[in-house]
Amino acid sequence: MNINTCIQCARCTSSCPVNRSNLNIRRLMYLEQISIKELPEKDQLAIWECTTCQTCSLRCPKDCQPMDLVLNLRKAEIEKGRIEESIIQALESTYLFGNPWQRAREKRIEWNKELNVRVIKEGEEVENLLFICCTIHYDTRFFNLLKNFISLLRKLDIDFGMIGEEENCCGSEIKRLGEEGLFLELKQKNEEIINRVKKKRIITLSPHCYNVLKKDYNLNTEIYHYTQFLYEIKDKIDDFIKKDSRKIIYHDPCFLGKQNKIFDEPRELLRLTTDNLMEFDQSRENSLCCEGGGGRMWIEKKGKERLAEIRVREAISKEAEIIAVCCPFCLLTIEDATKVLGVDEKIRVFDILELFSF
Amino acid sequence: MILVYPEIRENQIKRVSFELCVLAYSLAKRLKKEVGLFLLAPNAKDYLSSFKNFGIDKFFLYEESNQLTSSQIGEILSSLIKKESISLVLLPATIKGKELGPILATYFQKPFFQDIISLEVLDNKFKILKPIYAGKVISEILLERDSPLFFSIRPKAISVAEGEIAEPEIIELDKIDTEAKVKVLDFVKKLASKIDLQEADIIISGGRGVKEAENFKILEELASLLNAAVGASRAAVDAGWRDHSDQVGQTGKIVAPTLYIACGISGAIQHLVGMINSKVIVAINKDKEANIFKVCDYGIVGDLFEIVPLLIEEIKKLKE
Repeated sequence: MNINTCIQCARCTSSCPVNRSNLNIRRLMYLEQISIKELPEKDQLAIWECTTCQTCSLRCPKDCQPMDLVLNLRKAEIEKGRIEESIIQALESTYLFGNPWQRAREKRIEWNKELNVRVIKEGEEVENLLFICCTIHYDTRFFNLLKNFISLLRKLDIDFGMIGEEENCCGSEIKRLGEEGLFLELKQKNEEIINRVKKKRIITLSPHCYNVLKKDYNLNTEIYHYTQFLYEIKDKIDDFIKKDSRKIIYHDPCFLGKQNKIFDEPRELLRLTTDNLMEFDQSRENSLCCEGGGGRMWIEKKGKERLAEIRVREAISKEAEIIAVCCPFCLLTIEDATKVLGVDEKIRVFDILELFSF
Repeated sequence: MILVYPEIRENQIKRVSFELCVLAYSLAKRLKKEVGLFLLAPNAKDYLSSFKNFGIDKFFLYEESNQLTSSQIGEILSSLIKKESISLVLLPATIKGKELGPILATYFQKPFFQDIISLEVLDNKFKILKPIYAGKVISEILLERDSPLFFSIRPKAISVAEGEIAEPEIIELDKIDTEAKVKVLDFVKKLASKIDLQEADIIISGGRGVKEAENFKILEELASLLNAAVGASRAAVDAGWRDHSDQVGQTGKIVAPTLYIACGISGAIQHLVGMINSKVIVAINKDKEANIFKVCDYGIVGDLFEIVPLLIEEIKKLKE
């Protein structure tokens, strides 16, 4: 990142989805430029508001990467141990059990009793290695997603397997919370486990795993988000996917869309099942963040309307019946918002994979 | 002699004190020893009658109007233990008892067992049951007889049954000059009158299914009958029905009560993190597909507005 070329144009702050909070990135850039030793308390607390959606860095005309400044500031806070209890718990759990949800490692693939996905051992070979996110492993809400994906792969006669219990959290959120040391440890462990398996590609289910595996890991393999993989073989799946007549609106996950420019693949997949695909006013590069990233799943920020609620309101006003996502965090935050707004019977939130029925 | 240290707070004898008496009485019969009870209060005599049915042989009264610290009480108890050659000391596993145990054990250089749930005589030994790993495992410990030995007993581990009416001897202890390194000036009670979520034995939680703030009243009614605390899911807190301090979950409080009743909560992972270690989970939800049914011990598929009132009615009947 480059602080000194910042011209204080404030595009970062004006494009920031959480700019109604105390987070003012332009101001942080300025304070850094004048080398302030200790941030004012208000700004110090505000750095935990950031969802690391990266809009600021993408819009910066001088390529200053303001989001990286927030991450550096978080790193410094973590070093000093000045972090909220809920973050400590998530970090500790990741360190001890390999997942931020405080669940036992032994239960990581409990769902597999029913689905029987092949667990790949050292030296074995598989064409497609699945990297399944902690949240999908542990939250039974995602069972149908897994079930659909796996039966789809089986129908298409695709060779696949997974690492199983030994798999660790990808560390995406750990890194973005600023706990670099723990992230490096997770990365090293996962690289070791993944690299001892012969595979053609890795398919991730979460855009967060996808982003970090692709950009920060050394894996010498192609990394796919499942939407990219299915898009490549969409002609094959088109034959047996049933049509859904409901009106579906697609929400771009920041870690897939903005940060990796994967906009069309998920939409094309949705078109296999619906003729009624709708768009939010803010979509693609301009998509509104759901507030689930950057460790925000583990930090409570109260007092203002959640962004996911804004998203749900818009979907309702457009008379959409389903909000489709392809990220576990987007699913949880937006589904929560439908409950808070009391519209959970009117509008449903599904992962694209859940919408596939055969 | 077996000595019992009762818990008296705000002029009230806590139930655990009677539980200790019951345990002491049964041990005393087996070991052919006497039971003594130490009463420390400004008006210690007033409490005598409450203990008359527990087969206590000796009451040791220590009338003191000042607030004593644990180390001062430790000094008084130590001299009593020496003087009366007391062999077993039973303390309540409350804040006070947990503080006194180590002080006494250090003084006598003898073992102290914290927060045990059972103490029996087994030939020449004592058999102790003690939960470890936050209650996930119960360890069984055999202990050689020695004197004096110190134990703190978890409240509610022993059921109260009355012993016999003894003819107790009442001994007023001489005042001892103890040095207070810390002076207790005042006790300030937390303003909130409701039961603390993290300390509650039973929690009734409401979620999105409660539909509006007003409806939490029925959960509160059930809670007051069960002496339980009321919790909420994030959806209910976000909707403004409950305060954030009531929130159970990853970004709220992490709780592990004996009984957790989830009403109208679907069971998002965010919420589960906060309550999955509860001993018994009961879920009430209309949607039989709800996640919460995958983690609960007892699940009731139905409308909470029908089921909770039924529960209230039944519990009221049981209480009559």
